[in-house]
Amino acid sequence: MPRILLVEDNEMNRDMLSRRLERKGYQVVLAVDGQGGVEAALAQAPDLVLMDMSLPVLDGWEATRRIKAAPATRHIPVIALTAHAMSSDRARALEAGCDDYDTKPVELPRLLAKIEALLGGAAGGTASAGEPAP
Amino acid sequence: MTGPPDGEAGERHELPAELIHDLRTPLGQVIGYAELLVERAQEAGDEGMVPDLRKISAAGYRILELIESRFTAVRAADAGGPAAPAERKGH
Repeated sequence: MPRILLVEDNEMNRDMLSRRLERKGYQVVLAVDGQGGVEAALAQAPDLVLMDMSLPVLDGWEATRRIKAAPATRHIPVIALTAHAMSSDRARALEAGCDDYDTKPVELPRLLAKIEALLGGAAGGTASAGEPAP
Repeated sequence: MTGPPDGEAGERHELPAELIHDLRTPLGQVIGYAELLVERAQEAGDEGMVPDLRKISAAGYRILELIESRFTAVRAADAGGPAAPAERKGH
């Protein structure tokens, strides 16, 4: 079961997205700020990180830079998630080292496709991208 | 006569990027929880609830479309002047 680290400071976003991912068969671990995200990436060894960018303590850009700079975590794919939708936000996320970028509101089939592409086709649980859990 | 077309594809207005961000965040929660409830209703065999729940998420997506079609995000640093093209929202 692929493990996803969700770094998100908004409690409702965290609850909603983690529950939706778990229903698709992923194990979800949580962090509520960028510093916690960096530490969880090291301690939990997730298969992928979903990184909100507007985070307290340490923002998502810097947290991603640190994850990508550390030998133990640099291989972990990071998808930036943000409610900002400007083209410069995407470029900034990719420059920080994010492997992909998606906007909120999350369209789950689209996000699942990006997750599975970065996981090398390893689908979470029994559901495939965009398909509801049976 | 030249100018922007009428209707939803017409004139776009500038809004601070932070305001658009702040609108999209709860909108995402409305859509996301509605879709979560659809899944749960389907699993529980409560198909009667599904059409109404889908109306909630559809209305959320409609608001999102309106935001994206009517408004252009500009950074606070650009306030008081037109945003540079590279700083405007894509598409």
